[in-house]
Amino acid sequence: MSDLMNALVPAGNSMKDLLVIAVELEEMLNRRTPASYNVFVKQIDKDLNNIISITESGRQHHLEKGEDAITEHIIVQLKRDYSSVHHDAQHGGHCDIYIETKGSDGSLYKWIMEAKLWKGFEYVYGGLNKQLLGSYAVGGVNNCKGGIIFYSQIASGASYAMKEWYQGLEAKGIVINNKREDSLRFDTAHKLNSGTGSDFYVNHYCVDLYHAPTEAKLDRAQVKADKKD
Amino acid sequence: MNNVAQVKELLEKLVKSTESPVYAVCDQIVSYLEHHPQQRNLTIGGLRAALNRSDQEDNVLIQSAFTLVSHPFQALEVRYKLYDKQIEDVLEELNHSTYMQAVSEQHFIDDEGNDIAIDDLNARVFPYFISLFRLCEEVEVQASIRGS
Repeated sequence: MSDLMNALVPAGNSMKDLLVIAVELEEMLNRRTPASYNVFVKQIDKDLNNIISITESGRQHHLEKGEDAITEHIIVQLKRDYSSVHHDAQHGGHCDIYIETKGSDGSLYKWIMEAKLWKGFEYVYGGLNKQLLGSYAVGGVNNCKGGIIFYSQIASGASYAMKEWYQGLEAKGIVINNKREDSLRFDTAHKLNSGTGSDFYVNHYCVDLYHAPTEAKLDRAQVKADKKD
Repeated sequence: MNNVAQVKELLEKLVKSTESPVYAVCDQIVSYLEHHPQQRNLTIGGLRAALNRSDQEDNVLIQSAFTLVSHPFQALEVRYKLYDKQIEDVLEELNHSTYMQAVSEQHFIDDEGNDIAIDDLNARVFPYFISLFRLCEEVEVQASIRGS
């Protein structure tokens, strides 16, 4: 290393200093320039779970919303951490959430997710089987993972919907892996091209958006509107 | 994407949709680099001085600089000088890929075969940022000279 080079650039701060000043830096680097595809996917999973938790805290604002509006809310939060996240991206069709980044070695990493309102097993299964696996998903070491998320606005709760969901998948012969102790998260492995193609791995998420006081308020407003008519 | 106009356009959209201070400072850094094309190598301290910011706000500045390293911006390149244990002499330089691999593996083996644990490495590597805008312009100029 030449003395000239040392003179040109002052030493500044060490990475140790920067990691203390910016405690988010380590996770930020895993999001924006991950060392591997697995690091990228693991960080998305962590961030998405935090976003779901925040969204559920404000569920009174989302009970009336449709599929696209809730997805947009999640995307805005993801955009704070991921510069390349898109709604309705053209990726073998219009997938709901598409995130891409380049790893620290320059490799392009992609992750896709389909989002649905919970309207029963068959409706969400269409999103998984026809859209995510049948249209958007591709194999390959840097593209082979994604997610399905559904929004539950039913009074019986997301736990009930999630049970319907994994029991329905099991009835179709799909093996449930790594079910979380509360049964609200798990993952599944699939073969694309109707079972003869590449491997694709799906994380399953649900968001509980039911809020009894808001529903009561909406019901009262509806009665009032009906009386006016 | 190392064209200033494209980077600024994307940053404006991200600032508008997220209200994130990180993207807002990214925009300030890009504007600075646009108006100071001679400025190539910058540390966090250098960026702070250039943008006339307080060190109390370094948290956001650090995140912004590394954001500009990442896809899709790739407006900056980050390199790391590895110093000896006394932080007196630079032993070698690491690129970002090598640094991130060391973070992932929690250790780094230097040119002389020394195994450095990640905490020790972090105490001895000093990052600095290189603007890729001018580099991009130079490549374009050279290409146009060759083509004429």
